[in-house]
Amino acid sequence: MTTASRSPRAGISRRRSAFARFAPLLGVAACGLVTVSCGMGDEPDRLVSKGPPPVASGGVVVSARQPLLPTYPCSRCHDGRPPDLRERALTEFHTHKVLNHGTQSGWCYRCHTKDDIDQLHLPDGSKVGFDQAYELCGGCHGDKLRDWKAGMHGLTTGWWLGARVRRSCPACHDPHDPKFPLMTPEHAPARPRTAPAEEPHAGGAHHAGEAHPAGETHHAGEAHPAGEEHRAPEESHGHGH
Amino acid sequence: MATDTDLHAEPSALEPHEKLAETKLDEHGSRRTFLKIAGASAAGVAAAAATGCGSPGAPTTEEFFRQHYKKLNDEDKKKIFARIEDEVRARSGVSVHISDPPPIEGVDFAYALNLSVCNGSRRCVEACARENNLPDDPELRYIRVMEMEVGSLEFEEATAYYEPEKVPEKKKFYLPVQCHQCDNPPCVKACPVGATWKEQDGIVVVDYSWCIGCRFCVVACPYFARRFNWEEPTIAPERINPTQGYLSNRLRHKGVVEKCTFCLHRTRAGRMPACLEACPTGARKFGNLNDPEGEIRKIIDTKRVYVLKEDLATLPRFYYYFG
Repeated sequence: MTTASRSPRAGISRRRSAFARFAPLLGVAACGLVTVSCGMGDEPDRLVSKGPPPVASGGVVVSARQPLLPTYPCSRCHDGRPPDLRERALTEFHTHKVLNHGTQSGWCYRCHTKDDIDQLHLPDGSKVGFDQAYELCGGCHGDKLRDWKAGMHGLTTGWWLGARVRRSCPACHDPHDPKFPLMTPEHAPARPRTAPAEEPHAGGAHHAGEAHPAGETHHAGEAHPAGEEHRAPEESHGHGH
Repeated sequence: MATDTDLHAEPSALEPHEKLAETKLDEHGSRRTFLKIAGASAAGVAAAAATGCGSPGAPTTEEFFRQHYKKLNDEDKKKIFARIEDEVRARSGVSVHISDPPPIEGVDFAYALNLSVCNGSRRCVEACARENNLPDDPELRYIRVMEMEVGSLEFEEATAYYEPEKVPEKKKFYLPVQCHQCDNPPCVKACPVGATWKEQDGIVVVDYSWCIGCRFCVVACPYFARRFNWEEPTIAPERINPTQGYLSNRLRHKGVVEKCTFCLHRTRAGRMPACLEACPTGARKFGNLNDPEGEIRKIIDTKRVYVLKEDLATLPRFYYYFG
């Protein structure tokens, strides 16, 4: 039930399957499901709380980043390779990466750590894991980090009364190209249906003369004479809009 | 008061139809009175009582003569839920489970929406449709996303029918509108039969079996949040969500009004509404207004929050903010 309703979010994941991205989250959500279900039983009446009002939230689980990284651990390849600090086109590996993150954001090792490639580092040099990448993002975007920690920025799903699952920054923003991607919108809503009596007017058939085979000589856009037979449909047309 | 079973057992013991209706109907009386005023003749009542059912959307005899939903006990409700489940099975071949989770003590639901990040992708609209069994023919949707000019809140110049290749468009922002679950709801006041009311946790609900389809509430709502089933709603059986709430997403019939209920069948079980979970940008926030540590309170305390048409004193529970 929980899993079915959590739709993969189009436009965010470009390289990984929806399952790989969300498998850890589903695990967390399932735990939440178990927790809450145990507390509440299965009858509809269970939801009337017996104890104190459940005004407090059930805590927050931040989505993990590390399991979603296909090439982690980085040291598998980077060990034994001297760090190349030059800004250059990456032709050998990581070729899909585009660095479009501010103008002064620096090259790889501004955020990745030269001598410990499996970790990131904050501006002050202290290391953080990929799962705590939000701390690194907050180094520049402190206002967003503050809002995110309070639940005001970012996507939080799951349970308002139970464990919330909060997406870490890289779940929505590609760290190398963080602008949220444009999306194709779902279809526009259906316009209200018009009354059936008005439909013959929709294509302008009346003015084109098709509806008046017998000697009528009106042209499109021409003012009608004061004949009653013309006035009635004109009025209904006007009311319809 | 006689039960449904009595009515079935002794159809021959009919008193004059008018009197029967008066004894069977709710003491509350407003629905009965309105029906009388509206010209529901004794003959009509008799026809309903005699045939038991008419066209697919017509109430059964039991439904017609039952009490107001708020006066039903759990036993009556169970019977009604079972009957509706049977009806759905016969109508669409789908086994559904109908329940009605009551409000949770100490909880006041509220919604907040971040206009800075909403990108108008309408994912919420479609997720809502799937969750709440909204018909695709004729199409009916609870959420309307308005495309607004940057720097303006002029709804007259906004459109819900935008259809660009990609969103968001430059110089536009997007403002989704759905039921605001007002604390001073004009729709509830407009209902002549008490078919819609505000629950303890703030959600305004509709009893689709009690609604007479007069549409007074539709025009009373200043947010255009209520929808009327002008035609028999159709939905493909495989798209039916079988987890249904009596006051929320159960299948509706032609001639009744419906609207967003904050997914009460989900939210009263502690979950987030479907529109929120589908939002790709995290613009939607939902929670308990009484939770001092919750998102909603943090937003109201620290952000620039506003409600639509504040001057109408409808006191919405749907807050828009920038941030």
